[in-house]
Amino acid sequence: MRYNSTIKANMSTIIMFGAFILGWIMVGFFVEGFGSFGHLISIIQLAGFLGIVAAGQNLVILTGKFDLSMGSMISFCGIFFALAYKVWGLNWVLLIFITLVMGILLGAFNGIGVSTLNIPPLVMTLASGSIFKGIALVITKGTSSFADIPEFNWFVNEKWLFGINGVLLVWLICIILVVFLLNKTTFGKAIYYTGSNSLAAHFSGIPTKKIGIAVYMLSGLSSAIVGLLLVGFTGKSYFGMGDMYQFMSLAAVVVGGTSINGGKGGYIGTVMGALLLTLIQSVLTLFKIPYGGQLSIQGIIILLLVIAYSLNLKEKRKA
Amino acid sequence: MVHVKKISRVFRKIPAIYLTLVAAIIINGLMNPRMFTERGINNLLLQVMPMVLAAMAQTSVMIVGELDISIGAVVGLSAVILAVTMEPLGWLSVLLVMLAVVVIGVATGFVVAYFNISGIVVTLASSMIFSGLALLILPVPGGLITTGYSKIFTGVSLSIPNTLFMLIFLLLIWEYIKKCTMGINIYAAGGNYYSAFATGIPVKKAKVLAFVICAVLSGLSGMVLAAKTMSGDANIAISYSITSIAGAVLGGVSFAGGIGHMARAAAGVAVISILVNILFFLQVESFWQYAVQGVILLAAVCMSQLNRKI
Repeated sequence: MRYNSTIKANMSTIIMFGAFILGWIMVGFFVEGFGSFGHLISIIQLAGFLGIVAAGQNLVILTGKFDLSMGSMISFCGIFFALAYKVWGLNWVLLIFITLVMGILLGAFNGIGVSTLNIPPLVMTLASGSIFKGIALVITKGTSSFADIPEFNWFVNEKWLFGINGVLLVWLICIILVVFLLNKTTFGKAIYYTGSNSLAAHFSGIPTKKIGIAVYMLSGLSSAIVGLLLVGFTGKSYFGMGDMYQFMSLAAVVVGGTSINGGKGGYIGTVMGALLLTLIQSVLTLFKIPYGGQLSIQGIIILLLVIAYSLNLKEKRKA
Repeated sequence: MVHVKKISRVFRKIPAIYLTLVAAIIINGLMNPRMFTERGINNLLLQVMPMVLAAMAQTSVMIVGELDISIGAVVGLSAVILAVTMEPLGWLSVLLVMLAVVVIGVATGFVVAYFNISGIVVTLASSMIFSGLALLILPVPGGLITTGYSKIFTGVSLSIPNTLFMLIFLLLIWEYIKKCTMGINIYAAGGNYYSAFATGIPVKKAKVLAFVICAVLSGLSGMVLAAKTMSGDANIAISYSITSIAGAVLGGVSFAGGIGHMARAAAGVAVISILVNILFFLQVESFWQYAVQGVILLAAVCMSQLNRKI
């Protein structure tokens, strides 16, 4: 009986994983080379960027809020890192730490606005995103700049650890940490309680405001990590480098079965969501579907999955 | 002194956003004296009109307690449909746009209301679908808008810009809808969804109607935009989703739903647009526009937040 209930609770994750493997095999059957193990790893590595951003987004959504400034924070941190290396010539390891702290501070700005000043999260993060992006635009004047940091590029791109590269390594560490955080720590429990009923959590002594600020700080941290990795991956920073992740992070979390109202879900589902969305994107690119078509098809898939989840919820309510 | 008190009492009755709008227009006019000519006023109206319509669209959805972030995509899509179909279909293309927009509104509203999904998630996905469709139809800006069509929105009749007639006409229609049962239902569903439901108000229908009104106004915004630029561009209105929220908040529309006036939201977004004009005349680099918009939005929300506490 116990196993039955765990399977039921993780049904969406299992279906998602099945869909991912099935999609990979089916496309691999038709297209030569797509089904190879090496290509599977490279899809997973590509999904790493989305997966890490979605980790921060997931924590925020579990508290019942969301963060639409992540794309801008990624751009901001990536541009800061590349420019500071180029202009100031600082040590890149030191700069990585400074950039991570910067990401946390940007996140704290969002958190204070949402939790302390009670500004609706959509407006706060849209506004702050437009401010971060605006500052990045003023600094760069819309130009892209190259960041040639051989050691860092090697760390991100080369498959130096058992055939996986730095992105996947960071993602694996991120998965372990987030799953541990959510399931085994008081902080994780507090996130769930804040999300399912903020007022009740407050009355039972959970510092909901501090939790609110903390999740936004973590979301800023994960954006900064992705900003750094993107700079290492592409070797340059440019104004719109994080734009794609602004909505895709939210999509990965929602597709992964975490409720947008907070309190329900987990990171494993989101990991599957990120994998599935990346697979879909790479298949669409493979079949040379124009950008507009890719966008539409992704939108339709997200919408259908969201509708499917809502039907599932309805059945549970009746039972 | 008595007169001053009387005057201040009269002024206090006028919502602050209208006074701000008048002040902004006067400041803009001082910097650019040509603005107070017939042509200048027409140009200003043409500049703000698409955004004003988008803010009015957002208001109808915000009143029912939801948010629509697909407005920018719908505006772009309707401009693109118009630009592509105007040559072969002629005036029928306007009808086609209206039909498409109503279908969009009904579909979005239906999914939000009957599947009980947060409007933000639905419109996030639908905005991807619509801007993808617009890009598929017209990958690069272009298409054809006839001069005859363009004149309808850009023209001047009885020395009053046509867009002003349109705006007043739309606001009057909204005032009428507000008085109708359906309008009252929209406000009730936004004010307190569950007690409205318990009172027997068709809350789901009200939500769908709000989304239809939103989509139709977005479509009109796209039509004005196409007339203004004489072409279609899928990406031209991407920022409207954010700007419309900013304008509505500045105009005092509540996030919780149930409170809001379309005319004030229109004034709010006009203030933002004119502020950008003023920055342009102050010779601020255009790179700052992004950041300034964010600061304005944040300031507006903080102000409305403080108001609620008082």
